[in-house]
This record gives sequence, C-alpha cells and structure tokens, in this order.
Amino acid sequence: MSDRIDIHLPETAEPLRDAIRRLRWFRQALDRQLEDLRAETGLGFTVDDRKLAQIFVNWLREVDAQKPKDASARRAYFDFVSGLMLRDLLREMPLQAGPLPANADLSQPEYFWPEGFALTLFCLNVRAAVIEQEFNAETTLAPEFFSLRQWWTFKENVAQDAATAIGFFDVFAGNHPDWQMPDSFRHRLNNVLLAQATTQRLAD
Amino acid sequence: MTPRPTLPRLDPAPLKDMARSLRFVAERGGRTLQKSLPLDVLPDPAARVADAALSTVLKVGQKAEQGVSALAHALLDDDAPPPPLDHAAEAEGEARFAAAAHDGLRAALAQLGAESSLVSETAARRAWASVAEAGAGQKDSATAAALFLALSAHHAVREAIWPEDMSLSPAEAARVAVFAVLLAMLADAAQFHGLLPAAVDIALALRADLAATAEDATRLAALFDEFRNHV
Repeated sequence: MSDRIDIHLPETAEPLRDAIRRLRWFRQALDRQLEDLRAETGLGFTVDDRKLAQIFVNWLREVDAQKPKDASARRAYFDFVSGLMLRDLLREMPLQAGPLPANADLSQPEYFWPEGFALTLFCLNVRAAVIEQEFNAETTLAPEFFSLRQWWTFKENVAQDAATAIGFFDVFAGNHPDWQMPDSFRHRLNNVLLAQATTQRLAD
Repeated sequence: MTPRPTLPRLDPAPLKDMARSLRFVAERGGRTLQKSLPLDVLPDPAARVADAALSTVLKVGQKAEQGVSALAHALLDDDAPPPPLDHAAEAEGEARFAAAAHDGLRAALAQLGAESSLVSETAARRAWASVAEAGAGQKDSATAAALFLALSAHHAVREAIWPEDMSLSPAEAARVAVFAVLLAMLADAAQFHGLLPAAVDIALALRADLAATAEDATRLAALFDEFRNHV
C-alpha cells in the first residue's frame, strides 16, 4: 500500500460533501471500500446496517451541532468531522471481519485489526476525496499509518476512550492531533489558530 | 351512432383491500395452525391431510389476491411513483399516493422483520384526501407531517405478523414504517422505491424522536426537514 490515497468512491452528480451525508451513498461508499480491501487482502466483512444507520444519524446531528459559522474554518472542519465519523464507527463497531486468510501477516495493520483498519481507511479516503474536490489539494498518508506499533496503541486507546480515535486519525492524516479535547471543534480550532500565530511569529 | 355513455371510473382500492385481507387472514390462520398443530409428531396419513389442508387455505388467499391485483393493475399503473408532496391537490395524486403508500408500508414492515402485513390502501386514500382538503399551499414537510398523523388516525397499517423475538412493539414499528415511507417520498418521490430501505433505517434510528414527537405536527415536520436530504 502506498502513502498516496487511492480514491475509489461511488459516482455522484452532487458534491461529495453532500453525497457523504446521504445514507444510501454512504453505505455504497463503505461497501466499495470493503470490496476493494477484500480484493487486496482477502479480508471479508459483514456490516450491521441498522447499527451503521444509527451511527450515521448521530454523526449528522453532531456535524450540524458543531458546524462553524466562519467559512475560513471549513478545511479544518472537514478534517474534524472525518475523525468524528471514525470515533463513532469504532465506538459502535458496525463491522465484523471474517476469518483471516491463510497467508495473513499479523505484523501488517490490516490483519492485526481488520475492522479498525477498514474503517480508518474508509474515513481517510472520504476525507481525501472531499479535500481534493473542495480545495483542489492532494493528501497523503503519514508514515505512522504503516507502523504496527502505532496501531497497537491506537487499538488499546480506543478501547478505553473512543474519542482518542480523532487524535490517531489526525496522526495518520499528517495533522497535528488535539489529545486534550479531541471531540470539540472549538478547542481544535483554537489550537490551529494558536499554531498558525506561533508559526507567523517565528517567521517574522 | 349514439355516443357511448362514459362509465364511472372504478376505484380499485377497496377491492384490492378485500383481496389482501383474504390473503392475510389465510396466511395468519395458516401460521397459527402450523404453530398449534404438531405436524411433525402426527402419524403420516393425518400429517399429510393436515399439511394439504393448510396449503389449500394459503392458496385460496393467494389466488384471491392475485386475481384482484391483476384487475387492479389494469385499472391503475401500480409502478407509477407517488406524487410530490407539494402537489397535494393533483388529480391523480390520491390514487398514486395510496398505491405507493401501500407497497411502501408493506416493504418497510418487512424490512423491520414482519413476516406478513395487512395495509389498507383505502385508508391511505382517505388520509391523502383529508390532508389535500386542508393543506393546500403548505410546505411539503408540513404535508408529510399531516399525512403521518392521518395515516395513523385511519389505521393504514392494519395488522402484521411479527416473530416472537421482535424488539419493537407493533405500534412503534408502524410509526417507524409510516415515517420512513413519507421520508422517502419527501427525499425524492421519483426514486421512492430505491430510497425506501435507507429511509427505514434512518426512521428506525429516530424511533426515540418519533415516540416523543408522534402527536406533534410541527415537531414532526421539523424532523422530516432535518433528514429529508440525508436518505
């Protein structure tokens, strides 16, 4: 797997930022992700559709509740809501992986934690596609994404506190994580603004 | 040549409802008999006789429905999509809405786990008529909320057969099914059938909201508006 994100999502006539907020498209996108992963790794999954719909509805409501009024915060918000989706998916876990293929290498993250890997990759892919479409920007995976040590910590932390998934998502996406209050966009934005001001001061 | 008098148009809904009731009663009776008759422990001739009797009962119900459905199909295009809910006064609206609501409610109940269900198309027509009279010019989400209340008041969902381990109460399942059907119509009436499965899962996820708002048209309309673009 390369550090470039391969985006392979269902077609849609509307902007991806709208399509991802439709349950039917969201399901199709996840199904396609799982199908791609099965083809590449031999891993099979079953999806609990009802659980997935409940996660989706709760996520929509939180996305609306924390939506910033300031248009300049859009990019940071797309990053945030992608991590939020991962938190909700990992907390409720709508996937169940089938048996590992005979040749599975357990030192690879996808075999170490198949469900977590599939959902993380899905959220990273959707984020990458939206950012490419909205900001004409390319995204890459950080080296940490390929580190088994990182995945050990990720899995362990998420089992204790699902909100940490947002921080790990940022690490994998190459963003600066907010470990203090990962599920507050206001807190995250303050940190981003602070970091930008510091960078500016250093440059001056 | 004397012009032929125009025949009054036949309303197929009550006829279809009657045939569907026959089918449902036969099916329910058959299931009850199957549960109460220990066919597997009956000696062979008796088991065969009882089994044949059950099959006959079920076939009678199915044939009645098939016969009337064929007639009704000739009178009304069953595959026509429901009318947009902002056109409540449309001439063909009532029949198209009722046919789509019937099929949609049965599909939604089946998705929720119902083994069989009886939905009244006539009740759906009455619900539409009552809303069309009162609601001209209102927002389509307000029409959906009014239809939700009217479908419930007219008992469009008559009965359903549920598995023993069903987690929803019949009333809750009916609420979820009705909301899902109207949500799919609001989302895109032309794609109603394709959108229904996702609408059912969204409605199911909203069952606590539905229990809290099911009598309040304003809150129901707000719930429809909140999710109509997310099916």
